[in-house]
Amino acid sequence: MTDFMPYIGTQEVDFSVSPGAPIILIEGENNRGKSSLFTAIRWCLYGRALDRSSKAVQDQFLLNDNAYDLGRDNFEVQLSFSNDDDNYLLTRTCSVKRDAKGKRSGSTVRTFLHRNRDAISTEDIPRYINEVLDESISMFFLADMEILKNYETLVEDDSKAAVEVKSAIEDILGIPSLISVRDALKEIVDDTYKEIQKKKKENSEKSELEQKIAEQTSKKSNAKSQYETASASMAEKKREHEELTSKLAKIADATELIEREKTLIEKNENDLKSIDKLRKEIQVALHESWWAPVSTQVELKEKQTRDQTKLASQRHQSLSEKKFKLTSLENSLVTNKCSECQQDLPIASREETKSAIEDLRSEIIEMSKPLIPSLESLVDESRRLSLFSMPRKAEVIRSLERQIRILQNDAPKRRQEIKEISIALQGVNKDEIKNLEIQRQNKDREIGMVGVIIRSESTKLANAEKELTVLNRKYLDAPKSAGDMEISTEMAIASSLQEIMEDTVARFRIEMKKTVEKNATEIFAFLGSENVFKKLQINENYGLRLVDNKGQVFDHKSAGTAQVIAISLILALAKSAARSNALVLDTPFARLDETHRDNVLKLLSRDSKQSILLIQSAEKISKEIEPEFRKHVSRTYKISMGADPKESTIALKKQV
Amino acid sequence: MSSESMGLPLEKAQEAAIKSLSSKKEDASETAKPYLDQEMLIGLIDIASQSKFDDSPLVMKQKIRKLIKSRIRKED
Repeated sequence: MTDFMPYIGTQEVDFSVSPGAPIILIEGENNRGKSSLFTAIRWCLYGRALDRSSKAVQDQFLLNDNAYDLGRDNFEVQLSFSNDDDNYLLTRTCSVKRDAKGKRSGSTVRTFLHRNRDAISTEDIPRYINEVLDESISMFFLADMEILKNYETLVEDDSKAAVEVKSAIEDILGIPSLISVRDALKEIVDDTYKEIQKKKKENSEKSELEQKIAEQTSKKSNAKSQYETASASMAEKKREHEELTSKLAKIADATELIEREKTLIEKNENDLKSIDKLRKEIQVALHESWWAPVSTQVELKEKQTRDQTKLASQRHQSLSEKKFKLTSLENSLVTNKCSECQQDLPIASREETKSAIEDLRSEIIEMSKPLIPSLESLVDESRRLSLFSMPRKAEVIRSLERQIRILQNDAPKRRQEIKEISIALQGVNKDEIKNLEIQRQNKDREIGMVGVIIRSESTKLANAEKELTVLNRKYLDAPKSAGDMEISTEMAIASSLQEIMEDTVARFRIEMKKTVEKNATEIFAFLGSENVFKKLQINENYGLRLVDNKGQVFDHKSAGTAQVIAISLILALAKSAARSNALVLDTPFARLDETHRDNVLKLLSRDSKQSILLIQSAEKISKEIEPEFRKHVSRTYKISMGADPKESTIALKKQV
Repeated sequence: MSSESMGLPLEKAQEAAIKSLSSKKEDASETAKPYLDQEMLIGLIDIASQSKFDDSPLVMKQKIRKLIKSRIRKED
């Protein structure tokens, strides 16, 4: 510890003990620092310090006054200990705040805990410390005898403090462990009950699943059966279809011829119908073309016009030539030279030329006469006649007649072909072929219908299989019913065990009370010298009362007796405890006479595992027991005044 | 500061449990009876005595259920 209460600077105390020497003795004068050392241990463990009147002391006032005056604001206590083979290092430090006037105005405390060198988180530290020594039971192990002197009266009511003390005693005796088992069993009963209810629900769901699986299996089976039947039927029909196709293939040529014949006959019939129709149309056209002769005349006139035009053209050409020839001949007579060779014309030739000229003139005159009939008259007449003609109808009739001729042209060929086919088909059963064809068409339809059935059943089958897969997976995932019986049994066992543990807790509590009572009585008897007391009696509240030899409860008034009873209880609890903790006893002998003091020391030397005794220096150990007692002391420390009355130091005392 | 043992005073707890078993077994259900014996009770006391503050109530429940189940399976 550093600068804690009267201890200035760093002070270190070793509490470890050697085998056979379980005592650490710390001596000090009154107000020198024994209780401060006790407070240092308590403050380090739980962060709380109490003054002599059991009131809490604020942390900032735990800092040594001189250290504070020297400007030091921090103090610290560090505790090293082991528990259940785990090593702990607990450090609690406090930083004190100063106000403007330099007075202590508050503090900040920080705590560090390492377990086996692992740092424990700050929030978990109280939990770990209470596991080592729960604060509620610490009063029996960190025993300030000033506080415990009125122990008997403390437990005799239902106050919070009394309940805490009783609870602490039960804790020491290990009763809560049994209670926690009983409570755990109760929870197991509740849990298993819930699990059974859940199982029941799951089983119900499972039954539903089984029913659904059965339904789907039936559906699947039906669909499969239908599918197989349809597939077989399909195979049969396809086979029949193939047979029909095969038969038809064998007579394919005849079939083709029949088809051809049928086509030709149909064509013929259609042509005849068409010819009839065309003829009717011609009749109608003829009826409408009653002036047909006029039309013929128009055509005649047009022909004449074309002939006359041609003739006129020829005449015009010929006339031009003749006129040219005449001119040439006339020039020859004038020039007396041949128009062709330019030689002088002989007289004979002149005459011939004159004659030729005369002929030409006659011909020209003749050719210059108008044509009869004249072109103009022909054109006029043709135009006049055309007003009465309907050349379009004639064209229609001609077109219709052409169509009839075309149709009629094809007919002989077809008739010939039909005749040839008829000869080829002699001996062929046309009805049979027709029947086969009808059967094949029917088979096609049947195959189509069966195909629809197959597709439908196939879909049903696939759906059923899909649904079954899902249901089976759910069924497999569902909890197995094999554990149902086990859970019921577990619940029954837990329920019975809970009742047994309830009874066990009560019995164990009675037994432990008896044990504490017995141990306390033995310790009390060992510590005392009086023979007037028969025993210490424990009551329902763990209160210890003295019973005299007559069996009457003895209402003692002595503070010393109260302290012996308290020490008896502490040592009895330590002896009966579920766990063994070190004892730190602050001024245990304050009210005890020498005999009791010696007996306490003897007892601690003999029975305790580790006891730290904080005693007054004035409390001398009797010479009778001291040599033996010292053998059981591992170390003795002496608390002394430091350089200043406000300072104390603690140091190993040299053995004399 | 040290401690040498954990848990309750084992023998006394076992004694109490065995006495409770004798007085309560007759009232137990027929299903549970075959499993209610000293072995089971000693197992429970062991769990109680070995419980640590690190153990949550859940851990204790698991230990007890494991004990019960192992007995059921052993009997089966």
